[in-house]
Amino acid sequence: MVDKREPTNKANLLHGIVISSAIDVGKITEIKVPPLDNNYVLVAARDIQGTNRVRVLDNATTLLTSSQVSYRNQPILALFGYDSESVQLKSREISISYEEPFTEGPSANISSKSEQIVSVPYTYRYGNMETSTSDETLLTMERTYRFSGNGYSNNNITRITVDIEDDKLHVYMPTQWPAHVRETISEVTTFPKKRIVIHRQPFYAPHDEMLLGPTHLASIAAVASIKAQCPVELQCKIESHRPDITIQRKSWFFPDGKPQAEEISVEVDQGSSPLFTEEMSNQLIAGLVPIYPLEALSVSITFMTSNSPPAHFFGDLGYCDALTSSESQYNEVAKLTGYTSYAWRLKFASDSTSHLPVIKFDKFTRLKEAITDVSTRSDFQRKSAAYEMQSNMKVRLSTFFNYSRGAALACGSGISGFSSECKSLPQQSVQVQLNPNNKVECNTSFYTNGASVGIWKQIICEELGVEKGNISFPSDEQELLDSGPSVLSANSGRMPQQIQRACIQIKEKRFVQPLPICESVLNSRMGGAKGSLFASNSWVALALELEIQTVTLHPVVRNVWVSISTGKVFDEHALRSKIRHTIVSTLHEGGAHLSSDKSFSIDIVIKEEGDQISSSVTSALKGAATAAFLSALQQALGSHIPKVPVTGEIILEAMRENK
Amino acid sequence: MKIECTIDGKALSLSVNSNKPLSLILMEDVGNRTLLCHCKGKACGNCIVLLNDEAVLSCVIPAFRLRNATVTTFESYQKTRQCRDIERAYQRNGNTPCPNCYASKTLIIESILQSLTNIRPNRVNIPMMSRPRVPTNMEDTLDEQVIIQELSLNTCQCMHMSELVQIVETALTFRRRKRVRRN
Repeated sequence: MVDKREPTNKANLLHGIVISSAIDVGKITEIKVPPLDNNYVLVAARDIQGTNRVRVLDNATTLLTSSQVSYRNQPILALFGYDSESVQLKSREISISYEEPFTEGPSANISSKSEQIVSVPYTYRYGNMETSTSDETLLTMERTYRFSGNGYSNNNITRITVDIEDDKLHVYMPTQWPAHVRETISEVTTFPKKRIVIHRQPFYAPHDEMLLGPTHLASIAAVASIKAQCPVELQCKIESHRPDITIQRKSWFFPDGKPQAEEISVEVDQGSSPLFTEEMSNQLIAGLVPIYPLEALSVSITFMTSNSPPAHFFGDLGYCDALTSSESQYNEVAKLTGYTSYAWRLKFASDSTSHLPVIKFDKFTRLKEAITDVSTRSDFQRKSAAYEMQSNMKVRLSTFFNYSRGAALACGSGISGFSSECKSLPQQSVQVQLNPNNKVECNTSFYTNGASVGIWKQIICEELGVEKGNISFPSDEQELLDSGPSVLSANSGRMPQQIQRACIQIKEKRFVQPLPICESVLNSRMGGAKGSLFASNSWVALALELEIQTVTLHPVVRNVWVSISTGKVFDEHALRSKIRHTIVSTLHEGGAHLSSDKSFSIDIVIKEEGDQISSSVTSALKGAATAAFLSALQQALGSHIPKVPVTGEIILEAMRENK
Repeated sequence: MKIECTIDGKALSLSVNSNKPLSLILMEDVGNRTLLCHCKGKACGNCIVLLNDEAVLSCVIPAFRLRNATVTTFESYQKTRQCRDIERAYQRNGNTPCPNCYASKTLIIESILQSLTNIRPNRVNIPMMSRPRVPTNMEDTLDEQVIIQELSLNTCQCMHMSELVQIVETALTFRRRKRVRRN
C-alpha cells in the first residue's frame, strides 16, 4: 500500500494572498506595484503561460483579469511571500485604479453589464393553453416567488498547497471535482496532465463551495509555484453564491378545486457568467411541473447575467426553489377552493402522463400514504382548520396583529444527479475490480470517507459476498477515474446505483473468467429514467406548525413532522441525521427560528419499501420544508410572502398589507 | 514574543506576535488540519479547542494567553477513549452534528463532561471566559441552563438544543459507568 504523502515542509513555503477588484464593474486603468525584493513573488495575468481562463463544460470564466472588471472581488493579482503577515502588509501597498462606467469624461463609453439576457428562453409546454383556459367558470390565481441570496457565509478557511517535486506538481486541496482541477491547472500552466497529482483534502460544502472556487485558487497557486520554483500555499475563504430566481405562476382551476392549466415564467440571474445553464433549466422544469395533472402547461425560463459573482450550484441547481413555488401555489389553490392542503392533495394528486417526460415517479399510492401519515401524526386537519377559523375571526393576539399561528403541509419527489439529457458532462464513471483472494478495488474520484462510503461498501459486500475490510480505494497518486462533480447528492444517489451495476456485471463473469475482473459503469448507461429527465423512487411529505412572536415578529417553528417513503435504507442513523440537518438548515436559511421550547421536535418516519436503491430525498426535503414554511406563514399572517429568505421587513410589510 | 506551551501533547516553543489569535497559530504555525474555521472573532463557534481542558473559542484567544497552557485540538482528542463516550452518545440518540461543527460540539461536550465528573486537573490559568462555568461537584444534578449556555459557544444550528442536552446526559452516563468500572 502506498504511504500517504504528507503536505510539503514549511521551510521554504510561500504564503499567498489574492488581490481582487474593489468595484462591481469597470476597467482597470493602472496597477501600481511597490518594488518587490526576492522574498516576494507576484502573479498577474501576464505570468500565465497557458490560457487565462477556467473552462466549465461549454463556458469559461477569466482566471485573473487585467482590464475589464465584471464583478466585485474578481481576482486581479496574487502576491506570495515567506509569511502571511508580511504578504498582507505588502499587498496594502499595491494600488489599483479603476475607471467606472457612467463617469464623466472620455471613458464614459465602457459597456455597463447590468441585467442582460443570455440566450433564448428555455421552454417546456404541453396541451393547448388557449382552449384549456377558455372555460368561463375557471378561476385564476397569480403569484410571484423570489429566491435570492441569503445571509449564509462560510467561515471556513480553505487551504491550497502546491508543490513541485520530481517533475510532478502536487496539489493539496479540497475539491468536489478533482478531474476538473487537473484539467484546468494543465490548461493554465501548460503542465502535462499526467504529472499533476491532486491530493484530496477533507471538506464540508453544503452549498457546493468546493466545486469551482478551489479550482481558480489552485490554478493561481500552481502558476506561482512554477514561477517561484518552490511550494506555495493559499489560505482564503471560498463562498458560493445563490442565483437570483424569480418565478411567476398563473394557475387556472375550477371552483371545485380541480387544477386546469398553468403558465409559468422564470427569470434566473446567474451573475457575471452563465454556467450549467442548460442543466439548471432541466432541474427547474423538474420542480416547476406539478405532480397534479393539468390539461395545459407552459414554462418559460430566461437566464440573465449581471455584475455579481457567478452563481450556479448552491446545494442544488434550482429544483428546490421550483418545488417550493409549486407546492406553495397549490396550497393556496386548495385554500381558495375550500379544501385543506391535505384533503386537496389526496383528491387531486394522481398518476398521469403529463409529468412523465420530466420525472418518472414511483407509485402515487406511496405518496398518499406518506401524506396521510404525516397529517395524522401532526393532527393537521384540526390544526389547519382551527388556525384558519381563528384567523378569520380576527382574534387579536397583540396590539400589532391578529391570530398568528399557521400549519401547512407540502410534499415532493426526491431526485438526485444530473438529468438524462445532460450530455455535456464527462462520462462520470466508476470502476470496480475483483482481485484474487476476494479483494475488491473501487476506483472513483469521489471522496472515500464519510457515510456514503459505508453504503458503497455495503452494496459491494452484499453483491459480491466479500468482507468490508477487503474493499479498498486507490490512493491519490494512482490514476483515478473521473466520476464527475460531486454535487446533487451524487454520493448517495447516483454512485450506489453505478456500483451496484458494476457488481452485477462482475457477478455474471465470476467463476467464468479468470481474475481480476474489472467493470466500469458510466452514468449514461444508467437507464432508470427512460424517456424522462429524472427518475425518482422516493417521496417526502412534511407538515410544519409555526407562530409569529408578538414582540420580535420572528416566525418560530414549533414542530415539524416528516414522512419519507423510499427504497432500501442502508444506514438509518445517518439518514435520520441528514434529514434533521437538512430541515434545520433549510428553515434557518429560509428565515425561520426554531422554538427553544422543550416540546420542539422533528418527528421523522421512514418507510422502506423494496430492495431498490433510492434516489436522494435531500432536494425534495428542502423544497417541501420551504414550501410548508411559506404556506404556514401565509396562514399566520393572512397574506402571501413573496420572497425567501423571509426577513422582519417582509413580515411587517405583509402585516401592513393585510390591515 | 516567545511562548512555551503544549499543543496536542507536544511541548512547543512558538515565536509569534503576542496578539495573534490561537486559531491562526494552530492553522499557520502548528499546521493543524482539523481546524478550518476563522471567523475573525465573530464567534461562529466552529474553532473550539480545549485550553487547559476548558472549551474556548480559539479565534478570540490571543497568543499571550498561551504561556504554559495546554491546548487540545480535535486532531488529538478524536483518538482518545473519552471521545468514544460522546460518539456512542450520538449513536444512542440517533443524531450526529453536521461535519462543520462536529469537532467543536464534541469538544464542548467533553468540557462539560469533565466539569460534571470533576476529573479536571487543577488549572494553571485564570478562567478564560467570563461566562458562568458548569459547576463542579454536581454529580447528581444537571443544571440544564448552564449546560445550554456552554453549548451555545457553538452557533451552528444543525441540532436543536434539547437534543444536545440529551446527548450530554447520555455521554455522562457512559462516562460515569466507565469511572465506576475503573474504581
